[in-house]
Formats: sequence, C-alpha cells, structure tokens
Amino acid sequence: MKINSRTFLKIIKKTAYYLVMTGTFILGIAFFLSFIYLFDFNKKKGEHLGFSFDGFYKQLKYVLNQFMDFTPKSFIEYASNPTVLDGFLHSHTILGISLAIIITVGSILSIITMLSPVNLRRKLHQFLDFFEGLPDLVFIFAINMLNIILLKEYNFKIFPMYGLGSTQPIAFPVIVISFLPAILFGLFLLKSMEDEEQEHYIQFGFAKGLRKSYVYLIHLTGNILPVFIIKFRIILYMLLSNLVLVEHMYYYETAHTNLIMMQMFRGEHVLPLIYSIVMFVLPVILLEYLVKFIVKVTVIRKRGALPL
Amino acid sequence: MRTQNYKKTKISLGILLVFLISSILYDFVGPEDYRTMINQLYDENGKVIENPPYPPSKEYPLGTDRDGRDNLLLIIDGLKYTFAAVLVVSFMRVVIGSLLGMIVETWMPACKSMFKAFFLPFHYVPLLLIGVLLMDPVIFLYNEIPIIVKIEFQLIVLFLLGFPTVFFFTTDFVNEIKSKSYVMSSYLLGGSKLHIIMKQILPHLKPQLVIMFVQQVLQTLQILMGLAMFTLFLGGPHKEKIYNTPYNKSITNELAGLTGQNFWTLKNAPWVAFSSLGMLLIIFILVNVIKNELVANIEGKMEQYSVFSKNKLEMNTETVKRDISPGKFNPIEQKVLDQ
Repeated sequence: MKINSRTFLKIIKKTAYYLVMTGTFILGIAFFLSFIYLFDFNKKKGEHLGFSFDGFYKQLKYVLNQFMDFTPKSFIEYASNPTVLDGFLHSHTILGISLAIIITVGSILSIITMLSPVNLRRKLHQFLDFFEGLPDLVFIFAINMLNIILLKEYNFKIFPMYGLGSTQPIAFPVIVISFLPAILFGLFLLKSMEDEEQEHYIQFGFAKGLRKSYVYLIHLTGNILPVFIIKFRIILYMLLSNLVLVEHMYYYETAHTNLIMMQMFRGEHVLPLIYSIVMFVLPVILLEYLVKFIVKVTVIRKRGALPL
Repeated sequence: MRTQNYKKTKISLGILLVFLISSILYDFVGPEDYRTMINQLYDENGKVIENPPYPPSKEYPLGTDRDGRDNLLLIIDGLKYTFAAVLVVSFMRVVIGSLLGMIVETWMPACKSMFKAFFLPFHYVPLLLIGVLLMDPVIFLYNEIPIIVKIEFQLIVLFLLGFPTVFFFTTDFVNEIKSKSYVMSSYLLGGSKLHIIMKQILPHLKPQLVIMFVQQVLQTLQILMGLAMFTLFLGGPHKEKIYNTPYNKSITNELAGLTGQNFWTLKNAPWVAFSSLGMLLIIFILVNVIKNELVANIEGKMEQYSVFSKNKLEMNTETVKRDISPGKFNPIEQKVLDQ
C-alpha cells in the first residue's frame, strides 16, 4: 500500500502530538510531586514564604530520573504484594457495594418521586433539594452520632465503626459514604427526568393513553442516559473522595488510603506512591469509560442522541 | 437583571457580614482568654463533681471544649480565619483562572490541550488526596516553619486545587462565545482580539464568574473540612497542654480545624464537635441560598422546586391558566370569515 506524503505528514503530526501530550502529562505529575520544593520554608518569624527554584529544579530532575525505573513488571510486583492487594480489595469492596446502593437507592428515590401525585412530588423534590451542596462531613458526623446514641441509650450496636485491631468494618463505611451521593444521584436523575418530561413525545405518549410508569421507564429513562452520564461522573469521584476521608477518620488499616499515606511518609521512591494512587483510581476511571461506552453503543448510536 | 430579585442574596450576605464583623470585633472587645471557667467543678465539700468538657448552659450556650474553653468564643474568634482563607482562595482561583483561560483560549488555543494533559491528575485523583499529599510534608506538628509561612503555603495549595476547574470552564465558555455569529462578524470587520474579549466575551463571562466564585467558596470550605480530618489545620496544629490531656489543636481556631480537632469528642461530648460543624453548616446553607438565587437570576428564570420559591409545576399551571382566557378565543364564525 502506497502512503502519499500528505497522509505521512498527518501520521507524523499525530504521533508528535501524542508524544508531546504524554511528555506534558508526565511533567505534570513530576511537577506536583516536586511542588513543595518550589518553596523556601527556611524562614524566621515575621518573614514570608520564599521560592527556591534551584531546589525545585533538582527535585524535578530527581523525580523524572525515578520515573525511568518504571517497568510494567515492577507495577505488577507491587500490585501483587499481599498487603497492597488486601488494601485494594477492601477499599474497592466498599466502593463497589456503595456504588450498587447509590444506584439502587437513587433510582428508587427518583422513580417514586416522579410517579407521585403532583403535590407530594413537589414536597419530595423540595426535601431532596435541601441536601444539594451540603458537606459530606455533616452526614458522616450525624450517622456516627446516631450509632453512638443507639449504643449508649439502647445498648444496640448496629455495626462496628472503627478499624482498630483486626476489625475491618464494611457496613459502616458503606452507609456513611453512600448516604449523600445516593440522594444526589436521585436528585440528578429526577432533574434530568423532569427536563425530559417537557418533550413532546412524552406528552404525546400520555395523550395516546400510555401509562405513566411505562412512558417514564421505557421511553424517558433511555433518552436521559447520555445527559445523565456526565452527572454520574461527579457521583463516582464524590464517592472516591468520601472513601479517602472515611478510611482515614476511622483508622482502617487494611485500606488503600492508608497504603497511600504510608508510601507518602516513606518517600524513598516516587513509583510506589504513583502505583498506589493509580490502583486506587484506575477501577473508577475504567468504570467511567465503560459506562460511557455502553451508553454510546446502546443509546447514542441507536437513537442519535447528543454525543458525549 | 433586576435588583429586587436578589433579596435572599442580600439577606444571606448580611448575615455572613454580621458573622465576619463580630469575629473581627472579638479581637478588640472580646475576652483575652477563652477560659473563664475553672478546670474542675466542686461541690460545697470541695469534692470534684465535673470535669471539662462542660455541656451547654446559660453561661456557655455552646458548652466548653476538652480544655474548658468556651466553644462560642472559639467559634467567633475562628470565623474570620475561615472567611479570609475561603474568600482569598476563591478570589485568586476565579481571577487568575479566568484571566489565564481567556488569554490561552484567545491567543494560544493550541496550548489548551497541553494544559489539559498537565492537569490531568486533577481530573481523576480526588482533590482531597492531592491536598493531603501536598500539605502533609509541611503542616506537621513539630517543625520550625513560622505560622504565616505555613498559611501562605496552604493558601497556594488550596488555590492550585481549584485552579484547573476555573481555567477549563473559562476556556470552554470563551470557545463557545467565539463561535457565535456576532463574534465572527466582529472578527471579519477587523475587531482586535482584545476588543472582542472586552466587548463581547467579558459581559457574558462576568455573571458566570460570580457563580463560579460562589461555587469555589463552597468547594474550598469542603476541602478545608476534609483536610482538617487529616490534622492539616489552617496554620498547622499545636499540642500545647491547656487542661489535662494534650491533643492536636488548631492554631488559628479556624472553624474546619475546630471540627477536625474535636471529631473524637463525638462519643462523650457531642456538643464540642457539633458546635463548629453547626456553624459551618449555617455558612453552607447561606452560601447555597446565594448560589441558587444567582443561578436562577442569571438563567433568567425563577428557581425551580426550591425550598424558598414557587415550584415549576405551579408556575406552568399559572401560565396555562393565564393563557386560557375568553379574550384569546375567536368565535367560529369570525374565524371562518377571517379565512
């Protein structure tokens, strides 16, 4: 096959573009890992923060040199370490169960609200609206308090909270981290459904005598998926952020956050720290792209909805 | 945008301003020590009946902490640091992020993808984790770094955490405006890039930046609270023994720090943890009210289904009711004649 010069130039350009992007990405990671060396903290009382470009440059070079030690084998070796694997499995079990709960509870909340009579629907929506924008910590404290009250007043322990000793609780972190995201998931779903409800085809469906539940579940739900995927990402990363917080707050030793913190304190080599962070976020990134792909194949290509 | 639409914003801002002023005034008129209560309470026989933390009472509406310090005084004193940190960081993010975003999108749009690649970790790694990784080596207990230097560094890190969001929002927004026909016409008529930014992009961008600022306030507060759980208090922790057991305390008494340091009191003295958290919750609700009203006004419609406003369905019904008036109908004969 003969490649003409224009195609060849295009390939070169594209390759160069991706090389530059990869380089910038690696430089970005190195920059953040050397960030504190950009500043001069050796100051006396009354003085202000200074800069130390020499120190930063040296550290940047040092980190970039350490990147050279990367081999896929070293990553696999690190990931297959039993301690790392335990932490990964524990954290991602919590994450997986929480995600299933969020999707189930959020969907039930939104569907119940949508199918309710107008007045009740308004009240339910107002109730859900109240949770938007509130900090996660409030709910973590509140659920923790509820657990303590039940234990103190009624001597009734629903679930263990702290990960001291060999205890590795699952139920408590799952409830705590999925409470607010489940409500927000329901609210996002509800808002997307309400926007779509104004479309003519929905009104036409009602006019033709189709049942409300049929129109909502069969027609409306499929059509809001592309828009909803964008919101789903927010929920995913909110969940990840909550997990970091809860795993640290309640001393879960065999948890991935603890592993990341350990690597940070050791500070001997940057690669184990990067590996642990990658292991922490990779399943979520994969899930995000998988959901996007499924929606693209099943909804967008079929119905020609807006591209993601 | 009409001014009468900002009633809730004005009220909320007024309340927040009262909080801030009272916190600033505390330095001049407030008691020097937060501890006016003795360490232990004794009965007539000199027997110890209670130890701090003391529960809420008439003299101490929010109770005292583990050192016998008045929670209300601590909160009033710490409020100004929370406000200052959150406002400075959000302002820096919005001003620098939007300015750079406009410059990059207008003069060097090819660099945008490089910025994207550079800040890619911020897109996937939780911001709280990045904040912890960047702050932890500096904000630990036993080091000689002056408090002001620590605070400056923390503000820079907090700025960095939210900067990509503002930057990419601005580039996307400017890109969208640039594709409008009136901006294209302006280009074709010889308008300079600076002229287009000043006259055609900024007027649209300004209201969005106001909303962005309020959102950044909420996000900064959230991150501050999360960092406090990792003992990364604003200005750092100290472990000075005040009453009995030394524990990590916030140097500035900033609200998120107070909440973080008192997390362990939930079991025995919940009022200690909930007093500062309650104050933070009030601030969150007030800022949320401001944000919702701004969004509703800027979008040119009333807030839908909000706690404070009419709901969408009611409004729709009203519109339909208003539309169906006898005057709107033509008699059939008249209609036929018209045809």
